[in-house]
Amino acid sequence: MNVPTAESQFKLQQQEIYERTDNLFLKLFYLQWAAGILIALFVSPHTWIGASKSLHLNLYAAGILGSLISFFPVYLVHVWPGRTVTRHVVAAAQMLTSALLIHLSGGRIETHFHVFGSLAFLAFYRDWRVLGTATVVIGIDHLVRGLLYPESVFGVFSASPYRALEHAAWVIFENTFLCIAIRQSTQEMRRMAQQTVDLEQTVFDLGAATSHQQVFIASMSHELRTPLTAIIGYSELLSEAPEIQESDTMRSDVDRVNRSGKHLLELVDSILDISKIDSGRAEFNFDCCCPHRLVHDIGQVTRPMVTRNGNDFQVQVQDDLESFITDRDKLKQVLVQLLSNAGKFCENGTVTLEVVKDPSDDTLAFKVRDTGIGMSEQQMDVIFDRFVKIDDSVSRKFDGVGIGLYIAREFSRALGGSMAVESQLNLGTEFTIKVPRAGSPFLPDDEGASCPIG
Amino acid sequence: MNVSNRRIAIIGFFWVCSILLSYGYIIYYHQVEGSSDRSARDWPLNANLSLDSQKPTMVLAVHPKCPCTVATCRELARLLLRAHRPVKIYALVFTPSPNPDGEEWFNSPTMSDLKRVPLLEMIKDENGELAQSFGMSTSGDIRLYSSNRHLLFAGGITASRAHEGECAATDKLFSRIRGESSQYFEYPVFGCPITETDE
Repeated sequence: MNVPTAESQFKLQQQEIYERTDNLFLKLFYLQWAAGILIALFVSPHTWIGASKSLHLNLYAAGILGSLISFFPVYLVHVWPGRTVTRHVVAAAQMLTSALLIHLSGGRIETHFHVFGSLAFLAFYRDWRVLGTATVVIGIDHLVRGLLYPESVFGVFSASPYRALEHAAWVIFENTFLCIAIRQSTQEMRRMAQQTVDLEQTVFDLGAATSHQQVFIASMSHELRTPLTAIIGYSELLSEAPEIQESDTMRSDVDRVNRSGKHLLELVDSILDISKIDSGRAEFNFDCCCPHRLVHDIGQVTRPMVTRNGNDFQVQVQDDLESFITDRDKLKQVLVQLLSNAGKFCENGTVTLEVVKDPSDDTLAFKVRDTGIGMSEQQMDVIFDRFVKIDDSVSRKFDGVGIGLYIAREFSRALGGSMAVESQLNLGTEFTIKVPRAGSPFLPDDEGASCPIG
Repeated sequence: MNVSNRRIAIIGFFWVCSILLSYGYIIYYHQVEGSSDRSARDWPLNANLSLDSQKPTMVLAVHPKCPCTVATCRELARLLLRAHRPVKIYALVFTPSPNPDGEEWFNSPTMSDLKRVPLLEMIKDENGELAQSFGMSTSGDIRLYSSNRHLLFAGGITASRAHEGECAATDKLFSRIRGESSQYFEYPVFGCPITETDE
């Protein structure tokens, strides 16, 4: 990826401003053309000779000359938006429009403010040269009329010839401050462009670093899994040897090796899952899933770990549940994680797995409920954070590295659902996962069939 | 859009030319003087108006429908407020005879601005005959006479047709109202013809 330079970023922003301002003037020209006609209709619709009337020249001027003045800048905005020649033609046309409106309004002093307003609008381009073009057009208008019709120029041949200079001074006054504002704005744009480029470079560098990290994790996970699998396998073989079976000490040691290997393998798998989640490369396989069969399988896998602390394990599944679309393995992994935690943090209590349908949003809710130690509000705030365990006293007593719930929540979201938790200290905890029943277009036609528990 | 530089240049050239021509014509139109007979330099003897013997008398020709005369009315009002001098002012309002519109003929922005001019007495001038007796045949034409019947000022007080703003004429008229000068001054008048014979 090529990170743009500050200058190119600045030019890009400038071009956006030019095109945006061109479009603003496009609308303004239409508006001014209509306004000119309305002014002519209101101020001077007819000219008279005695009792006879005819359409006033101003009406033709508003319609025809107004169209002529507006046509070329409007055409350029359509075919050459953002170009230098376009905005200079816009500037010239805007000043000609001011002159026309002043004529149409009968030279009203108030209409002269259109000139100053136009200069301010032209400053939107943030290009001081455009103001120069506008000022030159005004100057040429006064000069030509002053040469051809000196009486028509305000202030010439009057008792106060300096009135013309006063007009010029006001225009220069406004232009000065507009140019200062343009210069400051341009400098600000350059600073922002530099900051944008620096930010993009930082993001790019971070992305590269993250990518390297993910590749490293993936390869290291593979390198770690291979020997761990061997350790687990050989420790299981070893545990079946008669010599080991006969010695309690040796059997205990071999079991410890086996458990440690499995724990390490679980940790490696979790780290790999996190890496895939972070990189957006977690793979999902959506297919039709029977909730009854799913719960049955989960129950068989988790019953030993749930009941080991003297807990009672209950499974409650709503009868009329139909098949739904999900990634069965990922959902099973999430529920196994939750049930494992429930069994871990509950002694001589009750652990319940409940599945119900929510017709209001067409989802299935999987609830894992225990009557264990529960959590405080502060603990609930951090349980989904990575590598965070509730507190030191808990982490000393209960094993785990604190990433299971993070992975479970991310998987729930990836399945199109959500995970929520409610808990009270010493009373228990309830996790609720809601997954959409039909989050995919691959829902099969036999959706209505319920799956018997095998 | 892929448009050649040459095409843009050609269009631009014709654009500039057409604007110059159109704009030039408009300026020319606004600078076309109305007719005004200034041969008589004294208060006309056959005028059916009375000259004020104590202060200057001003006669203003007005076509009630002429939009250009709005500028004259506003300039005159401003000038009189600045002058702080008494002036007898007659506004001869052109009235066609017969007048098919009746009082509606006088319902216009020009008349609204005319009514704001201080010290002004409006007189209906059938077919502009009274104005013609003063040599005025264009709306916005002004005659200022001294108390001893001499013509001090003749012409309009706008720099071009329907164009507000001070010009040489407003300065001269101002000085003559205030009695600072008694030298005759004339200026072009820009406005609608009062009579059809003056096309």
